[in-house]
Amino acid sequence: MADLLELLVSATASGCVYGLIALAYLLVLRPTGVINFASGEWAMMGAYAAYVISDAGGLPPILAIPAAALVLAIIGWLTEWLTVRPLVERGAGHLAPILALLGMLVIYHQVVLLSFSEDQYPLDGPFGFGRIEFGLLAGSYQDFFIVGATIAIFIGFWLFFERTVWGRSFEAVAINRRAAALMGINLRMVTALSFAGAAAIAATAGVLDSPRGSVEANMSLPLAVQGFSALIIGGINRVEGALLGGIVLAFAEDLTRRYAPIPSGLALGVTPVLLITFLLVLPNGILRAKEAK
Amino acid sequence: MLEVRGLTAGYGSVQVIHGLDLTVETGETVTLLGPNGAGKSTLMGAITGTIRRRGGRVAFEGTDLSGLDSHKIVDAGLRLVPEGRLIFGPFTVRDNLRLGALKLHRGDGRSVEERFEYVYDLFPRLKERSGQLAGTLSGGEQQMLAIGRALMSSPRVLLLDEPFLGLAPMVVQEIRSALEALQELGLTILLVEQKLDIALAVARRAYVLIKGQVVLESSTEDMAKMDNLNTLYFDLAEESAA
Repeated sequence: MADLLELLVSATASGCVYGLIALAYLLVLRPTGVINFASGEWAMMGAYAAYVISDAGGLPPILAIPAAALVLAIIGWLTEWLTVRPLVERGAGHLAPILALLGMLVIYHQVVLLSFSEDQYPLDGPFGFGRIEFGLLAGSYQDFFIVGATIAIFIGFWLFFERTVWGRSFEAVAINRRAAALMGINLRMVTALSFAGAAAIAATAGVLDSPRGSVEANMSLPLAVQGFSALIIGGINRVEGALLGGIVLAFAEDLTRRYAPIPSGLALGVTPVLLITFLLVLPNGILRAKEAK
Repeated sequence: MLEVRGLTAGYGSVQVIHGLDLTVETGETVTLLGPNGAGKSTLMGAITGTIRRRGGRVAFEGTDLSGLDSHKIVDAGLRLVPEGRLIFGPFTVRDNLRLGALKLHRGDGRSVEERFEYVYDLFPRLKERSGQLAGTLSGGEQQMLAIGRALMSSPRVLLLDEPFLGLAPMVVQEIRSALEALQELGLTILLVEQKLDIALAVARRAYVLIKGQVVLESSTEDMAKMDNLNTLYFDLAEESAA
């Protein structure tokens, strides 16, 4: 029983990381229709940025998180400006930005591999290593920190989208670009900010996740796949769907790994199986849009 | 006030508008008539910057709008109520209206609250339904919302693309009287219509558009006296082809 409860905390923390990556996908996907598989690379680059900032820059880990997010926001903004915008303005088809971003994914990955050795780098969490127990619930400092930070981020985004006129403008672009343009919304600005915000969120996910393992170039692909799966499971229509999808996925993974009588290597199959199942059975995800238009 | 000169526009390799000229003076209501596929909505898109212009000039109170992004055109005071209304269905009526006021220039007694009152006075039904999701409104109410949303930024020219399409006679009447109220307040209106009866009653001047070109410009008074009104588009199309 204690074993199960401990697993609950760490699975929730993993789910939060997946949920944040899913949110990074969602932020770009909703207003632009572009699926950005480089979200995993952004998470990895965020982790490297935090490592450099706290190791070489000497900044405390808690400040390295917003600093890494800011660095990646700039990279996200530049990515949109240099690769996506020129295509859209020349009237390229819907697939072109997605392919361009896949190209950027490879470039990001190789730049990181060339700039750092293939070693794994340690990254400290803001509260160091240690365990806390709330009654029967027990987990590492970092696990509890991840859950708290993620909840705060999701509440912030939910309030932004639901309660502010700027957030409503982003949603308006997601509902109908032409109608949004007719309101006087600057579509270029919304697109640029979506990429910057998505990169910052992906970076945050990478920085939060790294102290549980290490900073390494190969962390990007699993995060990209898990984040995308979380997005499909939760549904792309609502912000909170990303978090729900992440948690569902993480529990499926961890419970299978712990309790299913199969070799642990096979447990890696949980994510793709869930992804395919949802695409076939519930392609809109668990959470529906508020109103079918 | 609004001057279009030699405008060309289209989609992909298809040119829809061929060198079109059109003028709307301050305070007047002009109607743009034409059959389906004449290019009326394309023209509206080209004027408001949601469809890229290929050539020609759009000037608004002396400033050149050609090449400006749509959000700058809204900022200049030119607003389109698009065909099909394009309201934000998952948003409440209030949120739809609030987004309409994004480009409101505050000051001179204008504020978002003042605009809400103005629109609710014009369409009291929107006030009753302010908390309701826009997608659940009736067609007529959605049209009122689309017009109200455009009025939220206190535009100087209102472009209306077939606002009466598919509406019941009662609702048509309701929206017509709202437009008349706006006319009395001195708002400049460009009304795109297919049906002659409503357009000729509402506007003072008319352009008839056939295949992307203006084939007739006339006062609505003179047009109403024409004896071939029933076959007007057909006759004009024949003439322009000849």
